[in-house]
Amino acid sequence: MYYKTTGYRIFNVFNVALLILLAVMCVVPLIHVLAVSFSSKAAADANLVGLWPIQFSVEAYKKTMFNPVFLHSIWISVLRTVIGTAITLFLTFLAAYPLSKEESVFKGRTIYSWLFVFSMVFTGGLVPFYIVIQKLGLIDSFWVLVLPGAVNTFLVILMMNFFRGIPKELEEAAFMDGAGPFRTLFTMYLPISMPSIATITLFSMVFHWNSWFDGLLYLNNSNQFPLATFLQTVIIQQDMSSMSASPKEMELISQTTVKAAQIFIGAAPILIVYPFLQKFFVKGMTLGSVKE
Amino acid sequence: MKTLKKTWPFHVMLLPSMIFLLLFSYLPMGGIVMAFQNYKPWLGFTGSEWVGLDNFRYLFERQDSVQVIWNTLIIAVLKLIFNLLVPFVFAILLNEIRRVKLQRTIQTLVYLPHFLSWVILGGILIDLLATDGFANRIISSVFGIQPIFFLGDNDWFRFTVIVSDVWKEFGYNTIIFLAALAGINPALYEAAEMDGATRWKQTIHITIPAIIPIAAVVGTLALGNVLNAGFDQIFNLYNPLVYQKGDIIDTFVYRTAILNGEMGFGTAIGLFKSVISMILILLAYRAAAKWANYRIF
Amino acid sequence: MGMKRIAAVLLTTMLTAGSLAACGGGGTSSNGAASATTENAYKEKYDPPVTISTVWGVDPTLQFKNGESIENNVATKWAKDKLGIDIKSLWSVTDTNGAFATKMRLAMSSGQEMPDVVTIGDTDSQLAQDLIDSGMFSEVGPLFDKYASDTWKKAMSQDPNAWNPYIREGKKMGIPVLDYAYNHDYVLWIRQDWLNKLGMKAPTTMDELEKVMDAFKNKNPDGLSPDKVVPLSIGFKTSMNTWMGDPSWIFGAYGTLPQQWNVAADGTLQYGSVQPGMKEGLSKLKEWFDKGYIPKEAALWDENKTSEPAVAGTAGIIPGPYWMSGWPLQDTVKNVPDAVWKPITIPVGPNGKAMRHGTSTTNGVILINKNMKHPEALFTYENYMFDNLANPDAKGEFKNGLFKGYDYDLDASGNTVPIDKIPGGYVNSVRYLLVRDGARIPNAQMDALLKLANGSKPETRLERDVATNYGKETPEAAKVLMSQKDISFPDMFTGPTTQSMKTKMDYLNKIESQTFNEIIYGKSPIDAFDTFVQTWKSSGGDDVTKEVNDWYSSIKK
Repeated sequence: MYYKTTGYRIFNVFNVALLILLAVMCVVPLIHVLAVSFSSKAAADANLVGLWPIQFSVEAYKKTMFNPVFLHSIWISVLRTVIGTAITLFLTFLAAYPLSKEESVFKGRTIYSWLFVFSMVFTGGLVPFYIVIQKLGLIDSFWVLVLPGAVNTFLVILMMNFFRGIPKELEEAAFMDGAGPFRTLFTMYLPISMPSIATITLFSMVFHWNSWFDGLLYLNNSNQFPLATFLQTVIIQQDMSSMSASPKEMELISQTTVKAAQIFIGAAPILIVYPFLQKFFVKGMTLGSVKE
Repeated sequence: MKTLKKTWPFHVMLLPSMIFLLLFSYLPMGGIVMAFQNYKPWLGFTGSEWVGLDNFRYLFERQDSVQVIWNTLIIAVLKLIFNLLVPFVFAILLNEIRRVKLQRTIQTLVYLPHFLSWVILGGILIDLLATDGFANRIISSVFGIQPIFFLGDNDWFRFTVIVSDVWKEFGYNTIIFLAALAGINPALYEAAEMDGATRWKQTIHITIPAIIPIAAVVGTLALGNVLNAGFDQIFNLYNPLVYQKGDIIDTFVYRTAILNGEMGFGTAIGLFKSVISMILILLAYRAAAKWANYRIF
Repeated sequence: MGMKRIAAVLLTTMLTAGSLAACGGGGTSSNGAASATTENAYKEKYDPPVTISTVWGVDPTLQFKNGESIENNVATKWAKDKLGIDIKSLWSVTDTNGAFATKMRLAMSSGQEMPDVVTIGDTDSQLAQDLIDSGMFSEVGPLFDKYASDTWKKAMSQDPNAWNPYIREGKKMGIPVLDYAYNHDYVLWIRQDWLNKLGMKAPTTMDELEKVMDAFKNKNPDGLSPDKVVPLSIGFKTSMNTWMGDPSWIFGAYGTLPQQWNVAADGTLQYGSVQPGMKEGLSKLKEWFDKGYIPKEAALWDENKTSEPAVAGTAGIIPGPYWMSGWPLQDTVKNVPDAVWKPITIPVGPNGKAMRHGTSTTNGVILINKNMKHPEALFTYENYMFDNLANPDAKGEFKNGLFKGYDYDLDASGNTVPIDKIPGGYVNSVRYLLVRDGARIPNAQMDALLKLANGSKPETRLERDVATNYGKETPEAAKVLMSQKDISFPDMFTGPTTQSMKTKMDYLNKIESQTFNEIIYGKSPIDAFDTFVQTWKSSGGDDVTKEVNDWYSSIKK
């Protein structure tokens, strides 16, 4: 076995050490945010907090937990992520299959795929987009968060390339049995595509969780904002130079610790979901199991 | 070989996506005409004055145009390369870790920075990379050199931007490659093992060839971004000391078009970027088809 | 990689713009005859009620209680009951990342109904100018003369330049929104406890200031090592002319203020950054940088960053508004219990001269739709605000605050309770009003503060407000500020962006910041300033100066 050789063992030690170091480097900023969220406001505003809270306080979490708008925004985000991802997944899965055929099998697939790519590269911009949204009656509707971004070229092409890796023999066998494309897709491709579906799901979820611009512009009422939009309105630094600022307002704007708590809570759900999706990436899950 | 006689089910499968694209992508694309107008919202598309290529001319006629476009290209291309290469290598290395728990933990941790916005990370980096900050203390104790002004030195700024971007995104970008690795048939490794191939040989001959196509796809689609050097990041990190090497098209457009509501000019820049991207994607597509006989999409 | 594309689209969508539908024509709001104004249209209360439609850019920090929203709240109910004015909201947007301006432009592009009345803040001044250009909004001068109350008119006359930005060919096209005067004019805040321990007195000249900074750094009274002390906390990231951590007074000591238009000896406007005084100021800053008096990372620091060492107790001096003892300096004692911040005057330069950036007394503009049926209703509303809310002597329903249970509350014996004791929490309901901040008389705030500084008990609503909510050093800081009333110089160019500005100004600003910072950091010699001035002039600066002066002489007429 290769992993029993001395050379590989030495490599393994270095490899593990290197990756752990990288992992630590990646987790440091979040620990900092967490430390700030548990510090006193005075220490946070003075930028005294490193990786450990100073003048420990849970004030920020109390404020966050009693903020109904914040809590509701998490719910909206969960809703948009679940529904949005479901729609995207369905559309992507459906579109990727015919695209994965050769031009000789499915005449026209190349035109379709260029239509996808072209739509990714060129955009008409905000104004015409807004007009379309408005004419469709989507302004101030929950659906404006899910529908416009439902088709994502990147994901379709990714999925298509995963499909291409599936041996042709499987499909041919299904056709032999008299299955049509739809049945082949859902009974044969679906179960063996779990790693790629997990990938697409994850990308789509992260996209929905992080999107803020649509909420800001197409929803009128901040009570209906998804979390990312809410956070954006909190985190961004206001241009004070032309505001009639007063200490009272500055106090409200510069809630460093509350922001930190909200950032942390905001990232938590998507971090919790990740390990669940991870198990689909496990080796041997895919084609190996199909052979049985 | 039996092929399908009818392809209508394929068209049906694509129909929903096409409706979405038509509504939310192709219909709004008519707005590109703004690039050739001095667009005024109250005059609209029919009423605004046609100015031909004036909007484009402005992009190229500034004294610093060449510098800004060049900065954008360098930063974006280097980011593209390293955001492909680092996750690629990282995925392979991570795949070598045999303890599943450790592997998953590392994978989860490296994906964390993706969820912090540049506003937050910018603040952290300014402290971390300060001349008397943590990074410089390490560097001076290890190498014994003068502190490096990472964010305020024209020689270092691009480096800092690229490294910090790769650091933020590599964990997230690794996911695609991990999925590709999971799709490799274990039988291939078993067979290689029988033949007495070392792990290195297996990596070269099985692992890498198996994930190269995905890397090509991701790389090609990333070309769609070739003139987006990362507005949020640069905007939060740049400062007057590094305008020379750090000012990019998007920051420049932000200052001139967005803040002033110059929508025509903004559209023109967007169109310029799209055209360049499209050309590069086409070239990459042709190249892959010609030399690797692989159709990326 | 791929998904980042989507993030980039967010930006691109902001950048790019176009319009599909043939939907240009604006001003389609109401098709009735424009302003059916008769002689006694103006009423104290309208019965049947009249409607004013508007749109809102909602301040992100604004909160609501009792299930209210910007469309429907205590203020809209009040207006209907008290004045017979129905405030109709067409749309609202949380105003961050320029969302209000974007949405306004989108609404125009898609041919949506335009509001009767819209208030636009100075952050969106370009939008205000565009809306005036659109021709959808009416001249307001005659309306103001006819309907505005005396209180309002008097308040407006406190600043003769207030109307300047909105005058087109001699016509007043928008009503300036008045703000408190001197609100962002800075003083220097200094660690009085450090001065005391060193036995030094507050510096009044640049030379004395240098001695103090040197002592703060090298003989620090708290025993901090020199490299840990920031004697003077200033930052240049956004601009050299801002509101907190602002360095512009250093140039002021040599007779110029950067990044704004100042009146020259001959009465024309000249750009501050290209005047000879800048060179002296820059070499002074370079000297201070080399000696470690200013932060090593000053070029990377924005306003908020400069306050960090001040709050941490490692900074000795920070320039900032008179209200800074209420925020953020009140927190310093929590980190350094002995810390005492005191306001001092701006030190004078070698010729006894001092200048500081002055803030404008307006913070936005009210535009009135050409097709508004009852423009007089707006005046009914605002007159009431000026007479009863802004006027410090008013004894009416607003004598304790705006809305009981929202921004103030009374205890059993009729005294106002501290704002954090209001049942259900304090909300800044003044921001629910049709015009931002209701109404403000420019001098009122300073008058109130000076009265408190002279030992009077707070009596009026405004006096009580500043006494409880503005920090304990604020009255004294106001006094310090007003002792140097004449050194405040606001930017004198407030007109619409000129043609050359649109195409040239960004580049000019860029080379300016670049040159100045490079000089301070020793990357360019001080003579680079002269080269910069040459380049500035030849690269469009002269054209801009000419256009600015054309505008200035047009409004001087």
